[in-house]
Amino acid sequence: MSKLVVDTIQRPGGATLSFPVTDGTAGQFLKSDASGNLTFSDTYVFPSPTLPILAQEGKGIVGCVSSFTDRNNTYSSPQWSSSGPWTTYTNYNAHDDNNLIQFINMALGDGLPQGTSEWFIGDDDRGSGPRAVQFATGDRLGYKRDRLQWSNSTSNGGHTFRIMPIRNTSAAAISVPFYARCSDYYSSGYEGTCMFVLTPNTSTYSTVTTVSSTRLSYGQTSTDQSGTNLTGSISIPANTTVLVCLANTNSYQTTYRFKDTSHWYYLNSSYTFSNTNIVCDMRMLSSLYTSNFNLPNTGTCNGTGILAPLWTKTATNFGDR
Amino acid sequence: MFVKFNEQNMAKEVMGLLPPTENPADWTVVSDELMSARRIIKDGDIIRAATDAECDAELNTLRVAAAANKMRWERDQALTLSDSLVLPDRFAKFTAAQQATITTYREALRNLPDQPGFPLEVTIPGAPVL
Repeated sequence: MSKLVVDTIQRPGGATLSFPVTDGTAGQFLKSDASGNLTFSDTYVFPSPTLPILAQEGKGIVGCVSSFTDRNNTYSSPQWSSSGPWTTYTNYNAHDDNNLIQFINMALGDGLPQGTSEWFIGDDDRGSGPRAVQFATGDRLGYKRDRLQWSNSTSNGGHTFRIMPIRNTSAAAISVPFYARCSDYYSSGYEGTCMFVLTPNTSTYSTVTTVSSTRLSYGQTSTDQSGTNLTGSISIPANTTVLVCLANTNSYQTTYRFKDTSHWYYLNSSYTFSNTNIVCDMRMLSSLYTSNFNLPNTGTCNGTGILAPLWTKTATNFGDR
Repeated sequence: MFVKFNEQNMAKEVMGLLPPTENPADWTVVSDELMSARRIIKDGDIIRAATDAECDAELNTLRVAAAANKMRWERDQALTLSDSLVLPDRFAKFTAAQQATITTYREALRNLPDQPGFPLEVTIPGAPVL
């Protein structure tokens, strides 16, 4: 032991302390292992603060983010006009091509994130919903509602857009079934309904570089239909969060009145959450609800890195894993 | 995957798996490869991706039907708005010329579907100025 200088031995028979034989670096402190062994150690550095999540994970809580437009014209986001400044959007094919980035932007509440004076989703302010979060109270998540459409156009009806983050917490891939019910109408070629899944190329949020899209089910019903079943299953990789997406088209009921059905069902222990390792990812849900992803207005997303910020921003804002 | 077709043999619902409430006999089992098709069509015993021409033809039919419904609805609205003009007590107070204008206007509304360009190119008669 190196030289130790003390003024007074106060307690003969006290605890024996073993000091380090060499000096530490500047700023280090002595640290005990509770067995009398002291070492030089760095001060504890708290990790960067992360935002609180919306709800505790793994408690059976299931949520999604959503937005909607109660406006006719399913042509493009956000202006919803064939002659507007934007590009084509096809709802039954929301998982692919240039449709996917528009779906994501609209679901997050702004169909033209780099826009200035344009409308956010619909072609007016008569019924566009901002980004919202919704939780299930049973086996269903979403809504089935009547709504009024001022333009009373039976074709090109409005839409609801939903994203539900699902995480596989196990070390092996798990096949998970999803069941949804959506209103549907297919008249101009731009409408229809669709359920699809976005899967990242790696399991860790911060290292995601590309995202692939898989359509599970879709509808192209040329007669107004207030409820079409959309079902499918997908294998979720180990320790990975995927995004299950839902896009419907409102169906005409009677003058000015439309049906907007958009919900998942069978969110219980017999079906979607039959495996206890499958949970709703609360970090991702919190991020989808609050983060500023600043995604581009356009671009082909399937298999590219355009949607990677959905995962990497979650790592930054709510903690990586 | 499972497909249900409409009366025109075009797919209207495509599902990856059947919910327990569905009767399998109501559905046609189709190869997953068709999931990426723009439209699925039942061509006799063959189920295949519809060609662009077939898709466009279907959409044109749908658009015409939708336009016809919309024009008839607008026509019905105009007729309803002018119903009060032909109530016997009110109609009798108009001059003969005004009565002719009203009658001609409502007749033109009723004959709207007979216009050659109906329903895509339609001239909606202007409301009479009395």
